[in-house]
Amino acid sequence: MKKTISKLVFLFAVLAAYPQTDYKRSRGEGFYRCAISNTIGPGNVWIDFYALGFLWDSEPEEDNLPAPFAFPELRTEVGIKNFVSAFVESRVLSYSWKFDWLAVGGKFTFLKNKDLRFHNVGAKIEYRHRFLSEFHTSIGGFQNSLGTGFTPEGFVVQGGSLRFLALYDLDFISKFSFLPLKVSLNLGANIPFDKEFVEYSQYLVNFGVAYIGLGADVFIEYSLEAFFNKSTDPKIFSFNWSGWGSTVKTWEVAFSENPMYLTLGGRVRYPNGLALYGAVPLLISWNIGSTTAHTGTEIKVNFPEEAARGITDGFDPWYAKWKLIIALSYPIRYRQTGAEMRRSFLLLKNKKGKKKIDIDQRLNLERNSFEQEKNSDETDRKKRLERIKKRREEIEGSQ
Amino acid sequence: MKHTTIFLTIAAIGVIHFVNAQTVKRGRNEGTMHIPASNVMGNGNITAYADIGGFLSPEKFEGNAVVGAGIGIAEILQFNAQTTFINFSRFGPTEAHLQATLPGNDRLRFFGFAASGDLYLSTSLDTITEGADVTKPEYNPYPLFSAIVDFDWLSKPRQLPLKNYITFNMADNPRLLYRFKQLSLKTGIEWKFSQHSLFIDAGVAFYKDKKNNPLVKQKYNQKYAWISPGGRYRIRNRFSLLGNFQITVYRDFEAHSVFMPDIFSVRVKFEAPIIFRETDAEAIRTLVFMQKKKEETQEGKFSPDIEGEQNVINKFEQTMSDLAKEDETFDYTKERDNLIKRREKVEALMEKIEELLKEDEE
Repeated sequence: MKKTISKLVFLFAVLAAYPQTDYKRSRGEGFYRCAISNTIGPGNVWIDFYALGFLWDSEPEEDNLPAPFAFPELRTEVGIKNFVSAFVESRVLSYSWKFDWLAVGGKFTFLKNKDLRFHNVGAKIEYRHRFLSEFHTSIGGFQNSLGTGFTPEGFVVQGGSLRFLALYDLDFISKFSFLPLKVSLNLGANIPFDKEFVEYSQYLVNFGVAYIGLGADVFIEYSLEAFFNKSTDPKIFSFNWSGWGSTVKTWEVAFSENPMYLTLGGRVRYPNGLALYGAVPLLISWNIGSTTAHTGTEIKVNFPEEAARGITDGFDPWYAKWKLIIALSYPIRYRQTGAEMRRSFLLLKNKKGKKKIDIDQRLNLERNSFEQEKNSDETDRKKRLERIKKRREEIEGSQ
Repeated sequence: MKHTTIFLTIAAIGVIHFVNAQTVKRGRNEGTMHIPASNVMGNGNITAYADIGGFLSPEKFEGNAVVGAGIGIAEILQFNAQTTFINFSRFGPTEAHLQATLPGNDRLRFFGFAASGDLYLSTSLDTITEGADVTKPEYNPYPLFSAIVDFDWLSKPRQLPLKNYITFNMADNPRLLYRFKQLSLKTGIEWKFSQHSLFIDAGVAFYKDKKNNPLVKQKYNQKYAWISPGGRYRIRNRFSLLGNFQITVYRDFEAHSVFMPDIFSVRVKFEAPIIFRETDAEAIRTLVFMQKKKEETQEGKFSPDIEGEQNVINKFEQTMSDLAKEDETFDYTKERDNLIKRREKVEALMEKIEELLKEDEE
């Protein structure tokens, strides 16, 4: 313990000498969907403002230029204990300019998280309540009048749902100081509270790799929200979507038709704590079999195998092909954690010194070199004279 | 000796202050209107820009606005994103570029190279891609690649304030990426002044239709070439106003092609550094410009016979100029070797003296 404290004190002293490089990095900041197992630190408070935008089946105006969907989101996280943090998150404006959802949750990690750890394990649990209760954009009409169903952003459910994730990550810098990489894996589930929609429960997989720099991070991430399915065959759903002509629809969703995104993103930090964040999730799901354009007879004629399974309506992953997310983060209350202090130290240690033209140094060195040379010549001359004198005295003495 | 040192230091401080007072906030990535430099923005620097233009094609006249920003995220990395507003109102394509240049970029370098990962988020209604139709349009992302090469003649001994640019891009018109595969090759020449610059760009673009019969092997057989002169005018040493016009000089497109290149276009762009920290490369460029200016002034003012007078400031500037040219460092090893050689010579002479003394003795 004493050793750790003394190490941290030493690191603090080193970093205090370089205040310009002492970025306010949150110990618990994740990528996009991919969460990091560590918490933000006790007493710390971060606030994030997100803006998310995408294009999807917008009514083409003149020249085929649609209006984008754009939603603001707010998030705040508070470090309660060293190993626990709590957060509140909300999409404050959504379709029809209405309030969408509110989420509250917590993150827990193992106690030994003060210093950098190579293996990190944690858990994140969240209750999300969706207040928006009306029909809006839907994929192929698979949505009821209360807004539960398939949307451009995936499957959403009106009311409450529980979302939990097991978090595991590897922090390479703790073992190899020249390798500031983080690899993270999340496995979890999203379960609707409404019994009618429990069969729409999903398992969640997030996997990401990030380069964590002093002032900037970049990351790439894979994320998946897939319906639980006992077999590898497509999962068959049947539902009376009252918002769509009160008819029972039967359709199937293959694994590759679940929302899967590859996200590229990054974050830039400023010494005052402000962090600018940007990410672009790109859809990588692909269609198998019929599409939403196929119904009834078309299915029977063109997809007899699907018709034999009782499929009445086609489905395809017509989710938003890309999304654009920008965010601003700021620490309302911040105290540097030992782990991030150490990370900064290791990053600084391995930072290549910037080559600068130091005019003063150059002038001084030139002058010093000249004086050194002059002095050394002078010393040599004196020594030589002394040796000659001594030798002469010896010779004269011997005579 | 002491007085010389003090004088040298005061002179150095004076020159630095003079340079700072006159510093032009020139970004390391400044290029022409169509081609950015291969170098990237200084780490942490942020520049925002807005661009408006008028485009005349055989069918219509259109006005566009672009807003965007760039940020230096590492010494050799830059991220840049922009959005277009078509006819100043409707949402056009959004682009994101991650540009990486060769290391050793914080000095004046003759040859520069950069590779860029380009992501175009299309807002064009795509009904021709597989799976898309009129009832189910798609707006696809296009991850592409581009490369930039430039040559900075100011870094050469003759110190010509000239820069050449060449760039290869897989997108020419992002709004048509859903419809055409595209290749674009552009080149530019820029004559830089201490603040402003003049440039001329030229380019050729090749298009291959995606909608044609997939069984028939398509070629990039639709093409056009253009030329575009323009300039950069710097306001208050900080903001840049760029302007250019573009004329299509050659075009070879299919008669009923959905795309006809603009005949003529005019663009004006405003660049504002939001967070700016001067890079060594541009500080050296500024010093070279200042030195040149000083030389020009001195040529007019003084006769060349200022014998014996060592102008310390001139010497200092020469030193800086030498550094800019060669990026050299003081060679201590060489100096030490010289000293050792000299000592060896003296030792040899001493031995000779001793031998003479011995001979005397004998």
